[in-house]
Amino acid sequence: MAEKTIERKTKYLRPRSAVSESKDGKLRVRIEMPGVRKEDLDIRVENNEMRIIGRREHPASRPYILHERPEGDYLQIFTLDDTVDQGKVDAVLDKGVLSITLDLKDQVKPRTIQIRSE
Amino acid sequence: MNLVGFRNGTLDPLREFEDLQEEINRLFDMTKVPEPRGIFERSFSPAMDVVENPDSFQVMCDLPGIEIQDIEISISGNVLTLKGEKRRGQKAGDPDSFREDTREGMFQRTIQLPLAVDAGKVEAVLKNGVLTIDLPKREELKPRQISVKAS
Repeated sequence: MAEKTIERKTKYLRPRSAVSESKDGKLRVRIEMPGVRKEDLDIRVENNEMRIIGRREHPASRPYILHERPEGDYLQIFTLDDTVDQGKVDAVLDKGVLSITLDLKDQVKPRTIQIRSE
Repeated sequence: MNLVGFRNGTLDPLREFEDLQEEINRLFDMTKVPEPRGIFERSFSPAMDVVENPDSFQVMCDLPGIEIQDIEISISGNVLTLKGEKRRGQKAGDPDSFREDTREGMFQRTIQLPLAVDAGKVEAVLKNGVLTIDLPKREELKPRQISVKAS
């Protein structure tokens, strides 16, 4: 609980993301986290939750003449239901985009039934 | 200093409704929705930071998932234009999208810098989805210290 209290005090940004399901029974999550390096990512799957934190460098006050980009670390929490195989999570960070692939459990994957000819 | 602004202002609900009503009234008069052209040929304008150093400007822009060859930077005097295209990140055959708030398509942003820059010495780096452009000020426009001689 203590951890959650700290989190609320810190300013987190919600990254833009896209979630889709492929035909072969995989969930793909794309999260845009510009400025986050691989070593600054923290992906945790526990208690039916996938929590992604992307930490960024916080430059000291600079002589800005235009300052539109939001500052802060990224935080996104996804709730995972029973259909997700929490043991199979694959993550790739490329060009500031984190792609996470989650496997669905075998019993909920779409199956094609082969028809035997007698 | 913006020629093309970044929409991130505070919401005035009354004003927004008036704008919406006006837009809808305009739509009724149209037979065909015009396609965006020129500086409006974009689906989003990325947020930018501009830092002024003594002898250069540094422009930073969040462009996640964009290839360097899809970004076009052009400078004319003190006007910097950044444009390009963000291609759809999802692979074909992934049609079942649950939710999506990422932005795709053409983007364009034009900003006016306070001073003209040396277009020949501009350097741009794309790292971890952040584009950083270094724009050195022109030699003759840099601040100079003028020593005063005592007579």
